[in-house]
Parts: sequence; C-alpha cells; structure tokens
Amino acid sequence: MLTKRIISCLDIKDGRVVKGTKFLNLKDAGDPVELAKYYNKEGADELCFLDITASHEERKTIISIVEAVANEIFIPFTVGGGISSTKQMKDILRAGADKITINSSAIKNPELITEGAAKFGSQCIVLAIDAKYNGRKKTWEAYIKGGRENTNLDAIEWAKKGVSLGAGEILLTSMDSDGTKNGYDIELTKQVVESVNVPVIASGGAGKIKHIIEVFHETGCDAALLASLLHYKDLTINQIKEKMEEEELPVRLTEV
Amino acid sequence: MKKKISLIDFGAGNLHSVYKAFNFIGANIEITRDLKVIEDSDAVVLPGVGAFGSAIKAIKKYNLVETIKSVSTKKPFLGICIGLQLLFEESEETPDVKGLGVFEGKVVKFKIAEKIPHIGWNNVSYFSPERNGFGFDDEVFYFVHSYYVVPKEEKLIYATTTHDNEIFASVIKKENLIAVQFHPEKSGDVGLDLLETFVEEI
Repeated sequence: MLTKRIISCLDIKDGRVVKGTKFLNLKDAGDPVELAKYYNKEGADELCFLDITASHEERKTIISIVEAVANEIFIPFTVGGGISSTKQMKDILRAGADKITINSSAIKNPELITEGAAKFGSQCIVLAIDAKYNGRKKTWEAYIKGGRENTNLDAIEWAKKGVSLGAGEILLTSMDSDGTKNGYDIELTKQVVESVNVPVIASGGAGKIKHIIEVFHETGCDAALLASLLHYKDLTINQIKEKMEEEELPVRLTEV
Repeated sequence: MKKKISLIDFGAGNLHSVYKAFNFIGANIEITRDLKVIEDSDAVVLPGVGAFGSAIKAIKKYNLVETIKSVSTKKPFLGICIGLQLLFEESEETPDVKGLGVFEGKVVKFKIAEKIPHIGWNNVSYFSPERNGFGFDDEVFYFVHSYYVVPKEEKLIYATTTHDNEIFASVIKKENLIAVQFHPEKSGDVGLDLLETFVEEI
C-alpha cells in the first residue's frame, strides 16, 4: 500500500533556504544541502525546493544546488520556481531532480504542461496551485506570482484541466491557511482530491501533528508539504510519522 | 580490484541519479554505450524512466539490442524501472514497438488502480516465502510508473507490490539477473542497501 508522504519544502533565495509566513517576511534558515541531508536522515519521503530568487541570472544557482543535493541524497526531490520552458526543465532534471513544479508559467502557457509531460513523462510534472477563497463567488481562485496576482481562474477547474493536459501531481497550497498554523484547508483539499485522479499534495496551514493527521484522514490526499514547522523544529518528521502510524495511516518508517 | 560495472547510456532520465548512487556506495561504475566496454565489464545496469517506445528507439539507435540481450543472461544484470519493462516482449504503452524479449510476457497499464501514475513509497514483499533476501525484507521503496510487467512464467516473479488493490510484479529475478520496478537510486538507505547487495554478489 502506498504510504502517505511527508514532504519537506525548502524555499531557496540566492542559494539559501528561507521561509516566511504568508509569502512575506522572509527569514534565513540555512544551507540547502545541509538541510536536505538533515531531512533525509529525519525520514522525509521527499524534498521540494522552491526557487524564489527574483532575477533570471541568479536562477542559475539553483542548478548547482540541485547537483550538490543529488550527489548526496537519494530520495526523490522536486524543484520549482520560475520555470517556464522545457529547456529549463531538462537542465534541472539532468542536474538530478526528479520532478518539476510549475505554477504561473503553466497558467500563462498551459501547453507547457503538455510539452513537459510529453518530453519527460507526466510523473515529472507537478502542477502547483496557490488557491484563495472568494467568499462572494463561493469558490477558490488560482493566484500566481507568489500569491500576488489573482487569475480569476477557478482553482478546482484549473486542477482538472492541468491533469487533462498532462500534470502527474497537484501541489495545492491554500493561501488562506498558509502561515496561520491553524490547519490545512480541508474543504479545498477534499474538493481537489475528489476532482482529479492524480496524487494531491496538501500545503499550507500545518501547525500541529493533528492537522497533518486530519488532512490525510479527511481529504484522501497523498502527501503533506511542510516547511516552517520543520525548519523551526516545532515538530520532527519522526514525531509526525509515529503519530501517523498510531492513527493507522500507511507510513514509511526509517531508522533515526 | 573492484568489479567493473557498465551503466548503459541510452539517454534514460535517471542515468545520472543511478550513477551517483553507485558512486556514493563506492562502486566502480562507468556510464557507457560502447559495446566492447559493456561486454568486458563484470556487471551491467540498465536504467530507465519515461516511455517504453522512445527507450527502445534509443537502444536501437545505439545498436545496443543484441548486446543487452546477451549480457542480461550472462552477467550479473540489474534493470531499473523501464530497464525492467524493456526486457519483455511488448508494452501496452506502445503496442507497435517490440521489446527486447529476454523474457516472455508483456507490460500492461494499471487496470484497477484509480490513481495513475503510481507515485510514492510502497511495500515490496517476497512472492513466495522460500525466497531469501536480496538486500531487502518487506521494505518500502520509491515507485514512479503507470505500467508493470506480467511475465508468462510466474516463477520469474521475485517480489510483488500492491497499489489500490492491484497486485503487480515489482521484482523479477532469474539467476544473475534482477530487475526492479521501483527506483533503488531514490529509495534512501534501503535502496542503497539493495545496490550494495548487487555489487557484493558480482
């Protein structure tokens, strides 16, 4: 039986790991390779690097980080942030990454999903969706540019479309929950899980172990993405996984 | 002298990850598509991720078909993911393209499972209790695939995995050949242990 994955997410800016709440207020939290090693040892099932570097030139640093990580860590990892061509995808995959996440660039050019899937396989293409609730419309909308711009696209419809275009996984971030530590957006996650037949990674809002247990039990999602909760050592992956096992969730346990 | 391992280069997506993993455990491995180098090595690894059809096309382009077929039955041989699937006769993924046909049987798409691709960590369990351990014992490995092999000869099946109630052959073994549907190069310490066992048994 497939285990429920715990993914440790590292936001990278200019070669360093940073994490803010609600996408603002970035703090330096360390060296990517060291942190990757640490989380691998801790039992992370996967790593995710999101490059939030602003300029195009500085983006090249992500390639050397990917290479350095791939030399020493032998679990799957995903890279995202500003990737807008299959050429960039190829460079990152070649450097040792297993998957690519795309967000803004996929909304601007949905064919990028199809092209990427055709060249590297659907399993390589993770569609990241930043969703925010619109109380007036009573629906979630997809945002781009790190949550700064509303596309007015219905997030659930966009998830379905992305999968039909070739996305092999959905990385779903609730902008309403992100940084609150009040728990994942259960309703949003559930609706997306029920709308697509590919794995869904829930992101945004975890503050306690019970939030992680809750999102797995109540939505059927496949993975939970964690960042600051782990980076500031509020919780360890081992603590989370022990509780998951107790709650009879399928989990991969490693020796710590 | 360390045993020489050839890692066959037909442009597979996980080529470098597999190379790095063998390097990490201190094996003497070389990325190559040189027929002589492959034939002279002590063991051979056939990697792979992606599509069956394009993999066969690349293998043909580099004139590797006969060499792979011959070394797979003569030398210690490890197939990974597509490197397992290629050993069979045909695949539902590309019905008009023939596989290497080292084994009878075909590669089929998940039929019962709802979530495809099968992505993530899953258990690998011995198919019959008398099998002894090849670097694992009901361990969890990392999978990424939409198709799996159905060998005509059931005794080839060394271990199985279950995804959404669909049971499939995740490890094939015959004499010196072992081929796995999962990715040992991405399965953490358990995966590295399997590669070490392969190297030790050369």
